[in-house]
Amino acid sequence: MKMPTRKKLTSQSITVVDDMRDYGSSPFVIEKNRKLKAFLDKHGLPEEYTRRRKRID
Amino acid sequence: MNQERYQLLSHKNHLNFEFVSEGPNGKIKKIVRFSPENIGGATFFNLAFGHWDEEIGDIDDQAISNNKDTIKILATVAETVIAVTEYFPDMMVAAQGSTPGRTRLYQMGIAANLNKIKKALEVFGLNKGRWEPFTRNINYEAFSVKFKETV
Repeated sequence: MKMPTRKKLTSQSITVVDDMRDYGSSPFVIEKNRKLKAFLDKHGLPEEYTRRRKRID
Repeated sequence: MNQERYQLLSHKNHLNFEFVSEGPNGKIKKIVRFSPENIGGATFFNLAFGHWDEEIGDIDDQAISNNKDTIKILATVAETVIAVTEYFPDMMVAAQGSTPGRTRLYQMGIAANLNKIKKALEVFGLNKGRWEPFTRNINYEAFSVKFKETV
């Protein structure tokens, strides 16, 4: 069986910085996540993705 | 398509990206953050985007920077979405603006980069409570993007 392949698309080099801040604990990010999660809790995710993802998770 | 983009910096966890917008109002640091979330047993990334406000020490997505580079900024944010889905190919990214105007701006960004994005990604828009493949000129409430797999 052939394994799925994926096309590479990024067209520029992205520099990885060792000492970059992680914004995960930013109040803005936390609030933004809370709102989007509440919105998507109501509407769900695309069905095809949810089915595939549940097999992985 | 050869759209101009800003040079991107990435955190080593590939969830945080920074770039600097340059224009008539000077240099403005922009942040894109992808945060893992779970709904109904399915994990995905939430996208948060805004500029770094030194005064409040946090990201702000309400201020209008007026740096005359909206298209370049949107192309750069699109590049971060592509990059994160390349790095985490099983993960979907969901995005919604903090206001209807910001959501329309995201829509402009997707539409402007759609030909490139669709080569490797599937893009969905939430329209009247239903997810459907993204089509130009429809006002969506939210967006999601995932890597397309070909066999």
